[in-house]
Amino acid sequence: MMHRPKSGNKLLVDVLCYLILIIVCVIFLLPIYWVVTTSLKLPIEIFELPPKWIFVPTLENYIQLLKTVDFISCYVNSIIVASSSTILSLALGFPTAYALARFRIKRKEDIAFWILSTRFTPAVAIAIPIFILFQHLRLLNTYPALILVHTLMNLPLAVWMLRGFIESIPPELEQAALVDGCSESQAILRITIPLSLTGIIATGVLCFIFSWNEFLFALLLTGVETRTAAVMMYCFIGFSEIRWGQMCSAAVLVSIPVIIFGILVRKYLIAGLTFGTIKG
Amino acid sequence: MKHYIYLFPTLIFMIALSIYPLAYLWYISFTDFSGGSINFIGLENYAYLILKDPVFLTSLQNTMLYIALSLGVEIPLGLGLALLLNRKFRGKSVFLIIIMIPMIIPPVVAGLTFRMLYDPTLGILNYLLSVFGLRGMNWLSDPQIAMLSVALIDIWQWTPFVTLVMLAGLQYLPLDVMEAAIIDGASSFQVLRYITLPLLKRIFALAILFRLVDSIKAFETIFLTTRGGPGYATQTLNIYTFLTSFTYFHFGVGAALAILMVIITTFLVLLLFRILR
Repeated sequence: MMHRPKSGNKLLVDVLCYLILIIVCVIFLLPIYWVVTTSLKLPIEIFELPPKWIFVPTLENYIQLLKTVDFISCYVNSIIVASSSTILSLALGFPTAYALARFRIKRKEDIAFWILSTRFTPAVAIAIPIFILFQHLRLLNTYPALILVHTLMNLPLAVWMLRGFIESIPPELEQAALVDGCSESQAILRITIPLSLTGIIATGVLCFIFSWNEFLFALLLTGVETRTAAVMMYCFIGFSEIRWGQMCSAAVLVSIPVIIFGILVRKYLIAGLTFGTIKG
Repeated sequence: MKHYIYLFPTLIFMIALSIYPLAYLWYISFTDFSGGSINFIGLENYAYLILKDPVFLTSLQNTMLYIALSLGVEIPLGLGLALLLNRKFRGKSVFLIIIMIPMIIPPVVAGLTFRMLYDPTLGILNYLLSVFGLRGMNWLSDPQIAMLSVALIDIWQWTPFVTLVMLAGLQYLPLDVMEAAIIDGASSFQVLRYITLPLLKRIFALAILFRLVDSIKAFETIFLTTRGGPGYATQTLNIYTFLTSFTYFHFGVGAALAILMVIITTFLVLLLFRILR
């Protein structure tokens, strides 16, 4: 981007930049590297200092972790909650996003910003009344409790991101379908949804990631049967002695899906984290 | 009218699960509710927090300290990295994917990972210090540095966010203006100072506000490592609210704390919306 007068100078700058970036990457990756290697070490090797940089990897921790049935059921719980709340967020969010993108509605921007404002409400402020109300309704330790709250959390994201994707489709295409005799809902089904499918999928994947990672509500609203993987991780601290090896193998297994999904939707990640207010 | 039907599902859902609970929270904050009977006590909870409770003031100060420490590093470091990455070079996408990982992994994993790294007996950090001949530290149990240790987790997780937001902003800069400035004899530092940074002002403000609002709400970084301790050393408003409500079940006081947090964040968010519109 910047022009340098001398090419020798430019080479130096390039090498320097690479060097800084590599150091930064090492720092960012060191904690992750440490978790992955710890998960592959035998319990006695974990506590060895100086740490063993070269060792024979073993799946012992993973086997022990999977033997405790708890982990698999927590993993399944996470999948149930994350996919249900994702589908619900998209189903509720799409019509709203469509209306905000296409129709002339009084105080439209106020409504849009009100929806966005829930992104910033401290979770604990919602958690206190929800916890008390759900206790009255006997909804604690049920799937719907967490699914509803995660939908609330992801709905503003769905509305704001989908609105952006719908706005990028020329409205003339839908109007042409209407002229050809389609009803409004048919036009949406046959034109708008297929054309914004990439956006819908990206939004869905982001909803899934955020639900999967959510901890505070999951901790409060779930019980032994409905515990998600994130809460299960927390339970490792509860033991009198933390089993670091198993904890690290759980950390790896819990992180893998979101890392893969995150890489798939990396173009939309910043938009997702800022609810579409910044295009990445 | 027909158009409003499209909005109804979302609006009804949000009224039921956001507006109604917040109204209920507002009501609880005027009561002594702690699991049993509910008695209306007016402003007593607020009066207690603001006038009598020393922990409230400590938590407020800790929140500001947490924000200052984490944002104080994240913003300049994030901007610096974005400027470095805003060029075409081999392996750029690999760098971008690597720095994305800390903010995409579950915050629980990040918190527990650092708890392990900070561990005085098996933690790698103290070992690395000893390699350089430095004395190991009680990262999480020394009240002098515990706040720095938890802020460091925030920095590790969210500096990449600042970088990627800034990078998004840099992409929309007018290259021709910058080239013209260089042809007219401006140094690259002058271009940065007088063209790049002023044009980045809006996205800069956005990045700061998003980080600001999110660090007020920071939960996992503290809850999973120190739970607010040692003593009250890392107890922020958010942690104080959580512990008051869900460890001690003083819902009335907790609700008053939560309302105060909502007021603070609402103020910041209105500022954010003014920039966005």
